[in-house]
Amino acid sequence: MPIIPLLFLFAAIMSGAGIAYFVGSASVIAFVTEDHARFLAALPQRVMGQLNVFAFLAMPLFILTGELMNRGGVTEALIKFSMSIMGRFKGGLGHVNIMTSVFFAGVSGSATADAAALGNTLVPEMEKQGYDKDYAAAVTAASSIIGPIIPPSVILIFYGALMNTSVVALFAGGIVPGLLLAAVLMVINAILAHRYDHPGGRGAEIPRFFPALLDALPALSLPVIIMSGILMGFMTPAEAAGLASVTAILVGWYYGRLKPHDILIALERTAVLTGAVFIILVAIATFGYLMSIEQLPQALVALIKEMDLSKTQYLLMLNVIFLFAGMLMDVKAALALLGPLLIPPAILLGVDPTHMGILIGFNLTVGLLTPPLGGVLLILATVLKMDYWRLVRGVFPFLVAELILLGALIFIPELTLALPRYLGLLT
Amino acid sequence: MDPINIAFAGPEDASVDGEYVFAKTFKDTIAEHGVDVTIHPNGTLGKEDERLDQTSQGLIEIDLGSPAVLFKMSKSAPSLYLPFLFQSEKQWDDVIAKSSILESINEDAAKYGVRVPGFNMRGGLVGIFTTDIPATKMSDLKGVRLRAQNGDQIKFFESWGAKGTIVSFAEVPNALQTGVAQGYFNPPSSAIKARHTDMLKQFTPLDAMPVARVILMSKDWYDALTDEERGWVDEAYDKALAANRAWSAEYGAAAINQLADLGVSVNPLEPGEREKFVKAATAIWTEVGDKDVIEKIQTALK
Amino acid sequence: MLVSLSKRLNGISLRINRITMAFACLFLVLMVAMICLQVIARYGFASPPAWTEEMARYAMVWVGLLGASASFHENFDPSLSKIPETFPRWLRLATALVRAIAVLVFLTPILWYCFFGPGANFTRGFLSRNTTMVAETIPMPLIFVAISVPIFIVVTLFHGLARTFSTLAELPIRTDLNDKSTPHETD
Ligand code: NA
Ligand code: NA
Repeated sequence: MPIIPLLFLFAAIMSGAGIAYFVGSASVIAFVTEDHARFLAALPQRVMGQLNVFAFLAMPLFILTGELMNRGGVTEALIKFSMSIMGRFKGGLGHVNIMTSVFFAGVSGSATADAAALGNTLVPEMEKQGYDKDYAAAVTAASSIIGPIIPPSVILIFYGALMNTSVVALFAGGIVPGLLLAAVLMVINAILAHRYDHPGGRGAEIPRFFPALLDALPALSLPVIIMSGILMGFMTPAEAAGLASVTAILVGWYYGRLKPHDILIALERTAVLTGAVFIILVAIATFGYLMSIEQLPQALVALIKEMDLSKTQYLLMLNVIFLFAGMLMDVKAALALLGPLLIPPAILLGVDPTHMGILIGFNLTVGLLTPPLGGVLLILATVLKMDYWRLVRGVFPFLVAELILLGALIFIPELTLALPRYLGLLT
Repeated sequence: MDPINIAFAGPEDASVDGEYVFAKTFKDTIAEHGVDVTIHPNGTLGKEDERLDQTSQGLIEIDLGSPAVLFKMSKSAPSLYLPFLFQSEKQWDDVIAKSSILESINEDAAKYGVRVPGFNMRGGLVGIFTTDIPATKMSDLKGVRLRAQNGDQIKFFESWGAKGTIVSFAEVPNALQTGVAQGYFNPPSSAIKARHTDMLKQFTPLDAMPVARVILMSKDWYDALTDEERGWVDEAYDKALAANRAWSAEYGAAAINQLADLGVSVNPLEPGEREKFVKAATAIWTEVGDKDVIEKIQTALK
Repeated sequence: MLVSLSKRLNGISLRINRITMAFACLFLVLMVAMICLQVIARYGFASPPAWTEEMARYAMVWVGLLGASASFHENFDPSLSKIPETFPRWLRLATALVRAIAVLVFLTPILWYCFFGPGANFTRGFLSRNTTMVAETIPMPLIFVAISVPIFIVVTLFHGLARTFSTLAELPIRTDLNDKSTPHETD
């Protein structure tokens, strides 16, 4: 056992060092203690090689699009439009919250961006109408993870790049599971609305449908551009993302909300965020290189062969592992670390790579809603200045429903694969 | 002698990967002298650029790489990969043996600490696959968008009246389905291995060139071997290369026969049509390759 | 003495970060421009130029690495634990020391091998190798991309030094990214 690197790893984690830096430094120490120090010479090229990847191009551009959209008045227009459809029902604002997340998902690739945007706008509105804060925050959290399932999705781009799988097929694969997720959450919201007698319609001003639609059209045009462009094959995901960010500027200008200063901030935040992601990637690549030298992937494949698991058994095991990983780790770190090790054996056992990608994406985003380190929960607790554990309790019924849906997605691959197959994206 | 690391991009499967055949034969041969070889498949030690870099620093002793990494080091190398310059693997091997091209490539590669002893073959000759165009004449390809690996390929496609669009290999199925690309320029084995034959239903054999991958050795490592050790390495290399060629001949022949079973029609060119392709490509050879090197190759071919 | 030195270091760190950010934004705009040019060329001309995609990738490497140093400066890198201000001083110093060591241990070997190749030979180092290697689609030496690696490391190490001094001098850490109220991540 490499005791020294592990001890340092523990110390660095507890000291509050960034994920990239504790993974990177512990790996470097392990290179030395395991007598592989000369291989450190490969690191500079490894940094370049990890980042200089065609499939990653779409990631910063979709982040930029989301940033521009958030600043450009899009959230309000989407809320109003959802209101005009669902506002009249019992628990209406809960439905509006979920529906807005569906529309938001078509623009943004991020659950935390969704949670922050709706936490700032819709939760205060729900409180005003008589929902208790815990519930309002819980619906916001639970529905935010629709974001990375319905394309565009940073996690799916990441998966596609790591596993050499078509991002387009993954995007098509996410649509039905994302809509199912929204439907399941709406059912839970409706049940809870009756049990707790949530307000519905009364007192609320329901915007008229057509004016609201008209107002939301520029915002809704984005998902249409992105989806049709990519799925019909007019553009690569990166091209669609580039075009989307330009469109986002135009839309923000149309709503009269986006100032040059906002664009600058959006650019800066995108750069910083991309950097935070990329440096984690570099650190994980350092660790991955050490494992490759030690031939760990081959050993793991041999071990899995020896265990003689069926396809379904291995898939279930994988889902449990990723679920726990999602609870403990940053989503991208978990994917970069475990993906290249654990996913290839599943593909060898006959799991479809696209199906796998959606399952892993779903799985890891559910981890954003679970303690101890649920990213969405942490952000909402900060934005709304509320107790973390109360939020955890509030999310629980939704979480159970999401896990049941995950089970359905595991056992019925067609839920994921029918659409990409219909579009002819799978061979 | 210290253990030798051989890295390559493909799977450890001798039935489909000629580079693995090379690596395995090398390993088995040199094992007779008690030398250990670790084979790193599937790009576990990194992508093409990274493996080149590690070979250059002596971290990997032998890397089986793509021609693109060779192009980065040597300006002579692209001239070897011009369509219709070589019509068979044998011609390729003859030119390498007779001409001084490998020496000039090695002069360039030495600056990076790399030695290039030769090339592995992937089996089969390059032709054109399309989704639905049974091309038997060059004019059948007019305006057809073919997937290209790089800008140079686009130039050749355009010389034949076709069009090119650069698409990464992972997105090829999507590009074919959506019509972004209508076909590509590859040997039968590529389409079979990647299971693109579900969409690519037409193949026109052009015999445009063999598919050669490059073998890279760490120069520091090779130069530091004793004469006896170098003898073992050279012997293992020769046997491994011969095994690759034997595999390649068999696999290349089988692949084109397999196409029919997979529902792909093979459409031979009409008489006189291949000459048209050759003429158009030859006219722009010097735009992509180096004039002197091309002349050297042609002299060696005679 | 310690306070003034620390203030000075942090002032420089802040200025370096602004320059870094400006360049990161520039490369991001370049990236968007390359991609849009590619779309326009695809539908405007027969075939899109081969170099837009490669240039966009290189711009992305720059955005990522400059952004990584800025992310470190802004304390934006996700971590698994936070050290509260209420901890005793010795514990805060000890954890700051471990964090500093982690950054140094990770980045110094990469920096070393940027410059030196086998046998500590400068002409065989990563940067030197990339001065003669060229890009795939245009004859640009790859050094223009490779240089981003040591720049990222030097800038990040400097930010780390400034921050360690802040902890020693018990100064608050200043960062640039405003409106922290809407935290965002990519998940
Ligand atoms: Na999305
Ligand atoms: Na929501």
